[in-house]
Amino acid sequence: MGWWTQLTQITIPLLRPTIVFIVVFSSIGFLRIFDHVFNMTTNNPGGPLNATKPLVLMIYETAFSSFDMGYAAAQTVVLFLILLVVSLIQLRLLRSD
Amino acid sequence: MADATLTDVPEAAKPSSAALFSRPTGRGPRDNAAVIRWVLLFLGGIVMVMPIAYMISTSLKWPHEVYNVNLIPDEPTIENYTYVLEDGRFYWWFVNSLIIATLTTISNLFFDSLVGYTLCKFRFPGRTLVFIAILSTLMIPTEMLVIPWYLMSQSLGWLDSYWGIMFPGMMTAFGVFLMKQFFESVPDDFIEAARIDGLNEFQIWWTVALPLVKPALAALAIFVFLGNWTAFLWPLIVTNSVELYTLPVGLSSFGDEADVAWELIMTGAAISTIPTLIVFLVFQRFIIRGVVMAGLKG
Repeated sequence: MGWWTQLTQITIPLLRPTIVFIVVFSSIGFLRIFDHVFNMTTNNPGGPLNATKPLVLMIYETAFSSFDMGYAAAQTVVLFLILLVVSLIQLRLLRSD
Repeated sequence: MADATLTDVPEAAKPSSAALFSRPTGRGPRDNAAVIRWVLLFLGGIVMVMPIAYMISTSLKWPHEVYNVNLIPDEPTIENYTYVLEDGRFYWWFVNSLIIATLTTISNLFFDSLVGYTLCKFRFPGRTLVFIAILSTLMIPTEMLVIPWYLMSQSLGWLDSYWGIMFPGMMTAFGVFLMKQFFESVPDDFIEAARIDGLNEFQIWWTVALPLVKPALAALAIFVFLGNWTAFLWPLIVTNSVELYTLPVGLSSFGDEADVAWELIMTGAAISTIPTLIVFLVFQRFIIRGVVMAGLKG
């Protein structure tokens, strides 16, 4: 048995639970990204022209620049639903054998 | 005669082709695989270390050199370190972060293990319901909670205070879950024996159960301390006055409207990794010792 066959037929299938965990958690992590973007575009967060604006930064600005708390809360609920759907889809795709 | 000796060797004593390939001095597919593995791991290591190397490198640069990507500064300087350490603001932020992270860690160790112990070792109506309620909050990310927290702090007058920064993290669902799982490994007989010996329930938890889950406490301490030390979003929202900023929030405010002082931010960041290193080294030893002691007790 060659190393390629061993890798694709045995090693990766056995690592599946770990791969599922990492894929789900890192995608959730990046959908929630805030600190890096906020700090790297300090003078114009999410700029230029909102090109680098993630969801959480948008929520932050709605809530704490425009002080529209109700709208911001609604945005967080949408963010939560996105996270939920993304993780469920990934779990479904990666768990099935 | 040479031919004869070869054929006389029993079948089992002959080195198999696989064993030949795996000899460290030999040349074969195993060696190539080892080289590829080594190169991949080395590249992975570089990817991990690079940001830290750049942090230290940038902290040693003059402002005009910050946007050069060279890893070794042309004219290294410790000017940034003296500036940051002599700047009163950095000192406030450092102390703020230290106080907040330490108090939150202590609170988590105490309450999480208390709740975890209760959920694990006592039978009472609604126990499962409480546990499921705590577990279900694990799914909800911090970003969703900051608006309710803000509105709550606003109406209770907690904005711009230590308590305001700390209160959301004084107990964590993750910690409760972790401690409950670890208390499962403490035999009920120990607790029963302590009860017969006349200890009250709090003493049993403190003197019998807690020492047995030290590794879990150490892991939780590292986790909570690091989490609070690096927390950014909530401290940014809840604080207004510069004296109350935590380290990450304060560092990001270095520089002025026109230009971000990256060399100062990186210097502050480099200094702020020291306490996390200390906490990690101190508590990591508990984890190792805990495992050893559990092994001895068999």
